[in-house]
Amino acid sequence: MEIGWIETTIGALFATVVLTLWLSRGSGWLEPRFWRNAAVVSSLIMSGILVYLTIDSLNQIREGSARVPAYTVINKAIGLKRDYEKRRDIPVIGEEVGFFDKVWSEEEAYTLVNKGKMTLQSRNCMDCHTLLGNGAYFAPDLTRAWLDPKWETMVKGMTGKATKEEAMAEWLQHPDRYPTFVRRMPNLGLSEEEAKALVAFLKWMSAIDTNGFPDRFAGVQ
Amino acid sequence: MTQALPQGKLYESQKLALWYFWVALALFGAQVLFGLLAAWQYLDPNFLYGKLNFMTNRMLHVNAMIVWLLLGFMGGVYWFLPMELGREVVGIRLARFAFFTLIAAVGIVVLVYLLVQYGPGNAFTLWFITEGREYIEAPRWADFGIVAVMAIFLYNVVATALKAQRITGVVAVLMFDLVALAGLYMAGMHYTPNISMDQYFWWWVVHLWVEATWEVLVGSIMAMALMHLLGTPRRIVETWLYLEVALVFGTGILGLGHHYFWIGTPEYWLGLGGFFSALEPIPLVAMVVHAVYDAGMHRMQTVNQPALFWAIAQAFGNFIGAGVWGFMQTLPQINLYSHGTQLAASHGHLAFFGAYVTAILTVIYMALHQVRRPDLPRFDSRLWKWAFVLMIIGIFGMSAAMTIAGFTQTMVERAIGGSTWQAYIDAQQHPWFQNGMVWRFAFGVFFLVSYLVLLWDLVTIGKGEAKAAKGVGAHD
Amino acid sequence: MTSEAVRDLMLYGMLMVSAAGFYAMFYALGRMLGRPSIVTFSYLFAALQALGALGMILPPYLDPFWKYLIAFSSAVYLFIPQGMWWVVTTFHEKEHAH
Repeated sequence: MEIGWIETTIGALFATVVLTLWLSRGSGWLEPRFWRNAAVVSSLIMSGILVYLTIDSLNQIREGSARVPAYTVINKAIGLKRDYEKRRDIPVIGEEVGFFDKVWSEEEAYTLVNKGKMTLQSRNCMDCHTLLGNGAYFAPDLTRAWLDPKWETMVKGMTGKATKEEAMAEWLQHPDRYPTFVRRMPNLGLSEEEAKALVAFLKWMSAIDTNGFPDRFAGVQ
Repeated sequence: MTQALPQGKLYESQKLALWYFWVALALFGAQVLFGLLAAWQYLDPNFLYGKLNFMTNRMLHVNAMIVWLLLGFMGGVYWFLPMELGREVVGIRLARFAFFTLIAAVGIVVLVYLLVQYGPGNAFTLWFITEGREYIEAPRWADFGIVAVMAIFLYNVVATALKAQRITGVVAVLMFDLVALAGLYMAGMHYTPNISMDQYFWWWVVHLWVEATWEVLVGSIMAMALMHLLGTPRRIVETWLYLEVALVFGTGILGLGHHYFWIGTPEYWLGLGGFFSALEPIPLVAMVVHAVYDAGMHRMQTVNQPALFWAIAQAFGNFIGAGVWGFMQTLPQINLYSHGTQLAASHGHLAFFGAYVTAILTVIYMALHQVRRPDLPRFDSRLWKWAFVLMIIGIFGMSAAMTIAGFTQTMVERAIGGSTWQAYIDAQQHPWFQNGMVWRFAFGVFFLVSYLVLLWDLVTIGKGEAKAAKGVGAHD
Repeated sequence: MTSEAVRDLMLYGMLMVSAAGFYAMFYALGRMLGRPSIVTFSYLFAALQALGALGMILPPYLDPFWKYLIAFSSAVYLFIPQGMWWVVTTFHEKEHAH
């Protein structure tokens, strides 16, 4: 459902002003009563709109929606392409290629990605990295980490692994062994299971439609 | 009118407020120390590597800030509420219990952060060690504790108003705001593997706290403060507070949308969030005019000099830190590139200091006036001026350094580099960025010094020599 | 968007809002102290603020909606100091008249 946000905005402001004026009829506009009404009316109207939009937004960001893929996307090839009409990058979900040499069922994929998220929270990743741009700035943004060229150009070689996901899992378990510049990620004691789960989470996250953030990732065409 | 007790006497609630203030100031110091550790790790990446990683220092830096600001606000309410309602606060014993519980909980959480740091990826870790979500890393058990303490706090306010059979406009706003504040905290108390949903509600806590309910909370406290500090009539202060609520909630509730640009939510948030957010500086400019008027009316002289200066600083700091620095990066066209860089940090540092630290210091100086020298018609010292100037220089220096570093990231890492891992590295190693980090640390040390000066002044103002000069008291 | 565009938008945005603040501050100060010269000085910042807005609007970086929004904000910033001054003095005078 597409909501005309301009109409919503103008409607909200208009309603706030009109309702306030109506409720305050009789009071001068520099009097407490006028602004008390304005405060109540604007808070209620804006909160109401927020609730309404929340319901709409939550529907659009459930896993399996158009914007946020189902967890089974980890079985697919993920890419990015530039939508020149919208002037931004959008994720492209390709064919089934498996993940860690396996095709994961819906339940298995959920369990894996869920474990990945729990791992991410348990290790405080957000206090060094950013996820969808939010977090700390001591380490790179992880939104499209799955698609980062460095895994191919550097990490596969360093870790001696054959596939990207194996390289990622190995690197995450021993980041102190594989420095990429003067600042190293600390070893956070990830188990093999946790590392795989984290990679799954990162792969899933990279397929979220973030309205183009970060722009032109790796120079996408 | 508000009623203070006869000189030298304090309500029990006000004595409790002082406890809150001193713990808040101690945590402020902790915030600065952990900030310096984290800042140094940018310059020497091997410093405490593997022992006390950046993530832990940063978490403590940020959590210390959030807790000390909340403690400061609570102290402010406990200080002014009895005077506002003309009676002792109801449920003081419960309030004291809540205070000690809160301190104990904070202590345990901090010790676990420092000594355990992280755990395996399971529910136990999230419940007892860390939840790992920025600003609200506190483990779930502590969340419940915080909500319980907030409930007691709310009870204190409501029960006192009922007992006094008085609900002033200011108190009414305060009550509604506290309900919203506590409720919003609960919006963060959930777990979901879906990161878009996680962040959707995460922002309800973070944004609707600092850009909505905290603003109104500070507004209420400052309203009560200004009646005492400047003798401003209640009607004016109340009307102004309502106006503030109308504008802050009017722009801030949907201004929440400026955090929904890139987290997977629909495109309409780009327009909605950008629109309301672009208008957010407008009420802040208006407040600058009001502050100049207030300052000018009293020719910058009043019963409490440090409180006055910090109060005026609040209006300006809020405008510059939140308004200017916020606007600079709020348009989605810009934010697409600046999001998640040191620019966000520069805005955060300046805004929190300008809007909240200044307000709490205003209230603490007012409290000290009444505690130490209620007889003195003009509370003053020489040291507070040094703290004031040095601290403002310190925070501006840090923010300027981070602005330049963030700018570099925006251009090098994002706009030019394509936001990859390598692009991140390139920006971090760019000389502008590195210099920015050096200056940020230097001004951080400067800030620490100013904090110590402030602390010394807070400990000594109104004592000793001032008492001896009591005979010469009314000198203006 | 090119990096130059991002840079320019940020800098002009910063100019617009900070100049709006200085304009408000000096205007209020001038009215407060009864010094028309300071009020005139404040208009320099009003002009700078408008310049900042133009710097964002004239280049082709923003879509029409955003240009209108910036233009609207700029117009509002031009009149906030006078408006707020009137509000604040009227407020306080009414109070003292009681």
